[in-house]
Amino acid sequence: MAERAIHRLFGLAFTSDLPLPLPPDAGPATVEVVKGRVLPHGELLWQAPPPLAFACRRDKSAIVLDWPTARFRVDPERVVVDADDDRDAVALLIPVVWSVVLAGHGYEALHGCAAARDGQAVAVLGASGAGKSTAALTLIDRGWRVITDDLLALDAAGRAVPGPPFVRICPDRAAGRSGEPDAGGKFRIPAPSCPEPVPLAAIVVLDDQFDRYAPLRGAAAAAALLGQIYSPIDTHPGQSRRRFELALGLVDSVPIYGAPPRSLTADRLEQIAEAAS
Amino acid sequence: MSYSVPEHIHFREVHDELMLLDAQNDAYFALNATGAVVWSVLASGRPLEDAAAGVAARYAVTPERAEADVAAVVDELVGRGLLNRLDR
Repeated sequence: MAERAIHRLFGLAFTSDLPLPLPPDAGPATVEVVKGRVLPHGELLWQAPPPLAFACRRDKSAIVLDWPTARFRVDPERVVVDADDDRDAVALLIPVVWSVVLAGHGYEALHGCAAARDGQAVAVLGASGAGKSTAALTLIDRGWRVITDDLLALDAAGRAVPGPPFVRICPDRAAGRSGEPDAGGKFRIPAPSCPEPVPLAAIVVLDDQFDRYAPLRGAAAAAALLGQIYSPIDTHPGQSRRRFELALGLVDSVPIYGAPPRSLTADRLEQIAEAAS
Repeated sequence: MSYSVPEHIHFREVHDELMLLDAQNDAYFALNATGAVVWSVLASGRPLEDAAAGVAARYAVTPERAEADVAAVVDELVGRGLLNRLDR
């Protein structure tokens, strides 16, 4: 029987039955991703409103994530994948399903990307379409390295933990860059990555509530961060407290800015990073 | 009148403001600097009159005005289940 590949995603090494667009890792693996049958059983935690088709359930110790194209049963050490098409499963595993794996390991995540240069990272948070990935790509064009795209996970020291070594972007925003289309309809643009977690120098929150670029402090900064929690569904005990502590810890330790969606330029991001250093 | 903080309410000062978490309902609240002054007095078990005195001293307003403002803040906090009113 062939040995399964080991990969690392947001600090967790794992084996996978699915072919993944991730580099190999030496392990040791603490999580396994296996193919199998997953039934839509358990207490309903959340049902997406129509026309979206997604349900989240708790079945004993596991969380069952149910889309029309794939179903996942997530325990902290084991993810069972039930999908007809591996590509559909991969597009959901990275990073949506992985956010639930991280929650099972005690980590909360924010909806954001991060890039690093000279040992310092800048994170850009915001809803889908706010311009996170476009901002990351403009920095990568200037020699920055991608830490993560879409899901921002932090370690106990508040450093941004590396995610997949690519940026996913809508084809109309690819601006001539070459990338592999994924099942979610986006292009995966490969980018130089960071092997280790990187301290955050600044966070920018892209949101309609801001009419201009400005620093945020105190409760306004905390509220802006809490508005960017990756998954608001409570799948594990103590999550709301952890999210609260995560946001307040960042307010205490990292400069935070607000800006309108799609308003960031690479010049602005580099100015922010330079000011923080 | 005195007040207590329910067990599922967590709070932390951020700069001179206050963030509150209602862990039971997964809801967050922010209090401005005045609200934070009121909260710090009431959460420590001291009465509403002390909170009004603190606000009057800090913002140089009349005791009557401070008391009315504090009463309005407290009504809001109690109404949202962030504070319990103690009957004593």
